[in-house]
Amino acid sequence: MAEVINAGNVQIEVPLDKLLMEVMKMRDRGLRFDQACAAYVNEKFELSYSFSDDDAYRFENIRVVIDLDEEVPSVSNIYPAAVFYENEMRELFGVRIEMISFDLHDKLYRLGKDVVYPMLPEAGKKKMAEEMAADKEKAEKEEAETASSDAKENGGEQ
Amino acid sequence: MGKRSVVPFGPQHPVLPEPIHLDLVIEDEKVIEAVPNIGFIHRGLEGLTDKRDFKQMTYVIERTCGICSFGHGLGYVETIEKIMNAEVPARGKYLRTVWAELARMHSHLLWLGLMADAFGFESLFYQAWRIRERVLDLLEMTTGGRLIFSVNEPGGVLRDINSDQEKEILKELDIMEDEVKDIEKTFLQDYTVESRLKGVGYLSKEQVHDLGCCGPFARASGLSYDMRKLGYEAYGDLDFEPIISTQGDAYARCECRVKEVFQSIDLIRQAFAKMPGGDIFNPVKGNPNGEHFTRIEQPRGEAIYYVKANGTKKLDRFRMRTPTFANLTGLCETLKNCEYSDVGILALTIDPCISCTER
Repeated sequence: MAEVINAGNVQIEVPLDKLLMEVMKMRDRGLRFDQACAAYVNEKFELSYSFSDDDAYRFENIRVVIDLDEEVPSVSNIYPAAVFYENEMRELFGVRIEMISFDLHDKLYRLGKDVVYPMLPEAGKKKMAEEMAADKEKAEKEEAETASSDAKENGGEQ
Repeated sequence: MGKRSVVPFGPQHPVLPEPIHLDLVIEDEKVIEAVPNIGFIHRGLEGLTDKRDFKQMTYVIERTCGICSFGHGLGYVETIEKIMNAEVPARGKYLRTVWAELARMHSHLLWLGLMADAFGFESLFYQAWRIRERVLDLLEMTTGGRLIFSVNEPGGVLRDINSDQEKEILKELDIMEDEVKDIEKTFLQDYTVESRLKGVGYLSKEQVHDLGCCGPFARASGLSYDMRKLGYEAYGDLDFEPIISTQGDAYARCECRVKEVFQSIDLIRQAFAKMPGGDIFNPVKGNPNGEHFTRIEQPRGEAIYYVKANGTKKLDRFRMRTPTFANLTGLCETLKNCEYSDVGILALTIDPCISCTER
């Protein structure tokens, strides 16, 4: 009888700011990039990055849970194989993946003109729009505060 | 440096069984870069989880593609079974293995025919497809369907193979083995085929690893990576080793697939020799709650199925990573610096299944 490889599945959950570091660790250990996908669960995105070992067939999954408006750094500069997965996540779910090394600008699948993020439910789209609007408002407020403090400083100097 | 131009390849092209478009950046007759473009048959099947319950999804998923249908059904139901801790009767596992290997045979024979047609050997194309018809007849006899079988359900299989059918399958396998040996000689020893395929589209073992490639496409470069070694269904009871080649070119990819047809014949014989009696189906009760990744070896390579369930009939997420999707980066790499006349051959060597890729 042939030897059967008993490969366990491992999953680790990491914060978004540790994603690139964890992915680099996977590369340094010589693991191959298997897949990446998104899921919309409990008003958040669950991103899964999966890796496996050529010899032991061990399957390891990095899970990142993020708000709908958070920007995610691309792992395609670490693993070139990730480009199509990241383009897919952005086009189908609207995950804000930045700096994809081969960016297809939401044209991986030829979705209709009126089709926006088809895998994201309506409630998710609404929440995403609210979060983005809140982000924009916060950024504008911060900009205005910075401008007014700059003006005060300049006025004092004169 | 010659003048560079962009030449469109596909989506309609004589060598392409399914629509994929490549923008080829050409300098003289050499391809400098290839940019793939898909999306012609995207159907959004994964998104149907909010309209269909987890049992109905089996039928949706089997209809993703006509060639990989059985494997998709198998990968999905196995994921649901893992989440629900459902035990499949031993005979059901063996039956799934037999059908999975028959499906591999017909997929590889289909590819061999297309490949023969692509390198201009039309009679070889007919011979490969003639043998494939025998496999399809066996599938029709045992499942009622030639391409989409609908025999998988969470908990087991819906049809059994009786002793008369088993004898018929074993008899046909003997005939097919001789016939495949005949075409094997032409595929692997004919000097015109060798001169057309050898040294074309070389990828090293390191490259296929780095690019995340899988299946015969990766094994042809020496990467011994075959999910059947995980021992799912009855594979753990069967004796086999992944078929690999070290040449890493189009010829090696052809060689791996020819040899895998013989391997499938051997595995089916082993499965029938060890197949236990008893039940084939153990119905599951309740709804799945949890998540799981399952990996199986489809004819084109490793396929990954992910299900996240919430205890209701409808799933939170179903995801299918197909082998062609994984091999797209390998295709782009293999096309770099190739001759323009080799593009058709190389696009075929990943055994592109675009219906699966786009889902």
